[in-house]
Amino acid sequence: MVRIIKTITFWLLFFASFSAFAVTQEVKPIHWRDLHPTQKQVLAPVAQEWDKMPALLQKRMVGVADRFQKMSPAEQKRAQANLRDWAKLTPEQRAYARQNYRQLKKLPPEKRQEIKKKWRKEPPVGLNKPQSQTANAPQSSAH
Amino acid sequence: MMNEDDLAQKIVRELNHGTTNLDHHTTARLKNARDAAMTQFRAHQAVHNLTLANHELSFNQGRDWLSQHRLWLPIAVLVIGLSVIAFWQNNVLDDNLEDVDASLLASDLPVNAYVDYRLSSWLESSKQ
Repeated sequence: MVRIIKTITFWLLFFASFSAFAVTQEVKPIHWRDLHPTQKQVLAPVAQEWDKMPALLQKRMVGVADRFQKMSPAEQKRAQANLRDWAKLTPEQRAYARQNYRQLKKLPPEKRQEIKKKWRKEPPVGLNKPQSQTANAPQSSAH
Repeated sequence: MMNEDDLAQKIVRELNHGTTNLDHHTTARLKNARDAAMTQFRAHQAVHNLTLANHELSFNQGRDWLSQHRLWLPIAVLVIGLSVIAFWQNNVLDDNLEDVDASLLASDLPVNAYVDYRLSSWLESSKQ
């Protein structure tokens, strides 16, 4: 009995340490040449700057590319058109954008449409975001 | 009428009388049988004691093991718990973020709309 408990504890600790080590490892950069042809096709708009991108952003972009097949043709077109602008944002701006997107998604459809319509009516020139808002943006390491 | 005590005493007397008159051959056979029975009993007792001692030893070892590892058992539980959390953060949260990124990029508003401070102020006012 004691031997069984010892063995189980040993292996649990072994796997726990191994997984803890694995998850604390830094995200490795993904080279353009290592991408799958379908991922390359999706990520083509950012091909030029790909190898200079932070590894975590590359990982997230690959995640987006892997979800591409589930999108409608119109969504695919929009996602590809947005890739370059997305890559240009800072990690804080991306976190801020996610936060706004989640909030917008939570609204009732008519309210959501109203806000979208309002924004389309007077779109900003460039990225319309003052410094005070950048300071309020959630500080996140997520790229 | 003879009561039970008298009857018992009479039986004991008769039995004692019988044993005192046993011949040498019979007493020798009885002695050998008794010795053999005693030898067998002692051997059985020794095995029984050994088994008991062994059980006690195992039990004590178990208790010792628990007391020796009293400190690192909670540490083990903590390490395992933290690993589960780290794994969850690394996989489940990442998956969620990538889902959000994919839907955000595919949405009918451009990326710069979501970093526009006006959008967030409209969102704030629509909450009230």
